[in-house]
Amino acid sequence: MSSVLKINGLSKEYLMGEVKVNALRDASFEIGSGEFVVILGPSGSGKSTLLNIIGGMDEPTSGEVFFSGSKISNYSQKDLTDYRRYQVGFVFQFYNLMANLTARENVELATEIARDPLNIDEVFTLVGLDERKDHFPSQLSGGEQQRVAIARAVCKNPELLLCDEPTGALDYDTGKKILSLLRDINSSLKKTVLVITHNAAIGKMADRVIRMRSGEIIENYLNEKPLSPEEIEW
Amino acid sequence: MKILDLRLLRTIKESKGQYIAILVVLTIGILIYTSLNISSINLKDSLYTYYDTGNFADYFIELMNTDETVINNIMALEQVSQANGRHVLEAPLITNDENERVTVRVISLPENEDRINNLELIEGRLPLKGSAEVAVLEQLAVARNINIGDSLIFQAHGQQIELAVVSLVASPEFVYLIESEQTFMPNPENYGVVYLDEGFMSRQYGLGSNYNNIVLTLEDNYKNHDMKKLLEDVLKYTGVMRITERSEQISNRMVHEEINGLEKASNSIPLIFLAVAAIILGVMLKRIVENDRIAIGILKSMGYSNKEVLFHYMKYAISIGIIGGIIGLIIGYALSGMMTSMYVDFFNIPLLTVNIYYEYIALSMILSVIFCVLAGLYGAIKIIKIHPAESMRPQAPMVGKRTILEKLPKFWSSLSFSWKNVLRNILRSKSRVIFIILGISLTYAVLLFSVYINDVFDEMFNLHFGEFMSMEYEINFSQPLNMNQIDYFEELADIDLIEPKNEFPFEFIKGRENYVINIIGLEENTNVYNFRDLSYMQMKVPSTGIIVSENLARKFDLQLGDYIEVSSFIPERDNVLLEVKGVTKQLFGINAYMNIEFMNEVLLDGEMMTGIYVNSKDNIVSKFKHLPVVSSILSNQELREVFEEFTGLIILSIGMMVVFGGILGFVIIYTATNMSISERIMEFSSLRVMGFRKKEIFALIKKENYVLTVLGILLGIPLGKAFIQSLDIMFSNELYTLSINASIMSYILAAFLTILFIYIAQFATRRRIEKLEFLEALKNRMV
Repeated sequence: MSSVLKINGLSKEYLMGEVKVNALRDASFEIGSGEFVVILGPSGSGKSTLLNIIGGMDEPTSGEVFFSGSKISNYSQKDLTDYRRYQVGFVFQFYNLMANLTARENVELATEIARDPLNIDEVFTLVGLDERKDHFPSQLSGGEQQRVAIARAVCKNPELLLCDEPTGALDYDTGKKILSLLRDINSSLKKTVLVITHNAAIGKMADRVIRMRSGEIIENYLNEKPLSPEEIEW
Repeated sequence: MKILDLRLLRTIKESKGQYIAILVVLTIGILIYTSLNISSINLKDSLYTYYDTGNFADYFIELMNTDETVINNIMALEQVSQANGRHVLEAPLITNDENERVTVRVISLPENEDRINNLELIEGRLPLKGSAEVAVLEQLAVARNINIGDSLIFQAHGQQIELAVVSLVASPEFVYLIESEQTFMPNPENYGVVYLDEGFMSRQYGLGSNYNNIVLTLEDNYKNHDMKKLLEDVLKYTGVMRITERSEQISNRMVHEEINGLEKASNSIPLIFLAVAAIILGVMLKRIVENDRIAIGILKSMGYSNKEVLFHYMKYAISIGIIGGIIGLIIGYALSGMMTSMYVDFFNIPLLTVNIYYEYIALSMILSVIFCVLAGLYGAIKIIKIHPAESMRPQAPMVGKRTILEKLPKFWSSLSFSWKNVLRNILRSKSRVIFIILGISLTYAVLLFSVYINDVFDEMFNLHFGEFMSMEYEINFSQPLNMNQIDYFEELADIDLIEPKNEFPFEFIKGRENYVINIIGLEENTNVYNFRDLSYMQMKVPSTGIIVSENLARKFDLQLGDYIEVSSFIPERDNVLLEVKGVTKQLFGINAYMNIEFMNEVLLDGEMMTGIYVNSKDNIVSKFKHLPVVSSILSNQELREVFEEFTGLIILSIGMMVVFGGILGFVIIYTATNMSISERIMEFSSLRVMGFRKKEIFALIKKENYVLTVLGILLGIPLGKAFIQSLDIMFSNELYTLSINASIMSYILAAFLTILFIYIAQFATRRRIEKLEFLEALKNRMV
């Protein structure tokens, strides 16, 4: 399996008031193309910082990030924008849909700037929202909103899907359905999926698990037998 | 349509009230800019076209008398293209009403076809050679319902003649028809102009070719040449009283004052509206961007560039600029058409030129868009700094510090919860509070200015024709009389007061500046003039020296004790140096005043008087108007009545200014309150959860607005005063001085109007609170 993402000695420091915070310390790992990766860690462990740097939304203090062989940690702002536009899709904990656009329009917002977008109707079928495309976010449940958010991220046809606590705001059953959907996308569309969560149970469905604590990677291993989302419980 | 544009449209729809409010203010700015500018250009074009076709004179000369030789000498000057000698006299028109006085200026029509100040025939034909026919200036004909076929009787040189009206005419010389600089307002019912055939007139009065008036035009390449000195030399022995160049000719000047006023107003008033629209737009966009922080982060995370996101929000502002520009242009153009036709009517210009000025269309659009782009940049520029990763994190709550009032524990604890909330909110959101206070003060200032304008002319007239000049009648003679004849006039009626006067034009010279001013000679202890110096202290007519009006002092930079050179029109008379003994407040006209005896001694010959001032309860008009020596009778009362008619005309524009000022106040309060509600939606929702009623929450907003209204009005007072002062600086000229303070009633009325408009705006925002879904607001995480 070829490497899609390579992280090398990544550190991030920032000032909070007068206090220097080491959000990320010397992190290094590699992710293969098409892997389903779960980054586990409690709040403040640096996982969101790591995700933001991988997604080109934040810059490291030191270290390198390679995406498909290109060193994105050296990218200019313009290159980073292109990287986010063509290579990465984000899914957030609170869905963050545009309130005054319908589900379909929220997805179109992303496909309009994509180079080779997927068919929107097919993606809506995939996320199970065929009948709800023309509804506004306020008319959708939390789970449905998250499906729209996933459709928005996937439809651009990015190589990498980055999900920040995608089940954090959902109930148990809905959360499991969202995880199934992410797994389906990973297997059917061959997308590399990176999920960050504090929920250790989710690690059981991953191909690769990276555990973090206090900005450091304390464990990085491949799951020999990943479970299906339906099998895991928390 | 792009999805981002669709989102923008829906955002606009959601806040359509505020969007329309800003649009209205911007539209008003552009429509004022367009309508005033285009009107002034149209008026100028119509005027100049009329001057060209009417062969309007470049110079007007009043003199004692002259003949063909002098006219030929003038014609011989290489700069002069054409010169006409004219007989001009003022005569009372005999009407059926004994108590009415009507003065007409009778002007001879040269026999040649190619006349200077050629008449535009409105109806009929010009008087035939040698016949007792008359052409009547349209203004007089309309005001007195004079028609072709009617006959007019007037009295001049001791004889009454009856003339048949053969035409109604317009003249470029009398586009704005007033009796003298002092009368200021047109009064066509009592003052007009008629034209007689020159041959008939000179025979009738035995004038021959002894002209007392010359008009001339210059060759094109000498159009702006100063000919005064040259003409004075040619006319050395003719008793030149006044040489007036076209720019100083009273009718032409009045039109130009109006054009200048339009130009000045078009460059200042719209700026206020555009600036207010831009500020509100900028502030509003800034709030939208702050509230949309997460959405902006999401867009950036999706791969939208800074430029794309910035432009998305800028389009909000630019769309206002384009729509406001277009609507403003359309209404402005329509309004300019109406204004121009109103002006050409008012000024009696028979030609109306209305053109489309593409450069103004472009300029208005550019102006509109530039203001909005700048506002948009101010409001949206922070987008560039929004970091997508950071924007997703919830914003840290505002640092809550104790306000300055909370440091006064006794005072603070005496306040109710709602007052504490109101005052705390005011002291914590400084930029919004400053915006509202400035907005209210601007509204107040605009309204005060409008109310003031309504008052000022009235007040000026009362001061000028009540306090400054208190005579009831001013009777002018057709030729100077000896002062001892005053007893004769005193016995003609039951007279309370009678004083002689002398009024002649003289050239004032200081350095390279020269200007012809009427000097009025008065008795030392005059009871009809009340001179007040610049500190409003009373002054008497000095036995020697001269009193000058404030605008004359300004024109020649004269101080007390300075000497001014005065040139007499009497042939071979040396120039006289006169000491300035006083500078008097004078609201209308530009004059100088002297002791009548001193004036006769140094500037004239013998004991002359050119008229009398009379106060009387008797019927002065009927008793004096038949006297051969009387050329005109001016009544103070009549001037007042004319003026009241004129103020009726300006009510419309004042009304428009009040509406525009009110719109400013409405928009400022409406948008600011809406922004405040949006920002405090969580706070209000929490209050609702705690059991506060909608009415109580709205009361918080109302109280806050009341406090800011009081502060805004207090600040608006000096701002309004500054506006009024700028009016004085911008619009005062030799014809009138606008230096009147606003009355207490003006201040109170402006405050009342401000509060009224704010109340209406507040009422309009009430719906937001009524519709507040507090539970939704508390749990919402959509962007």
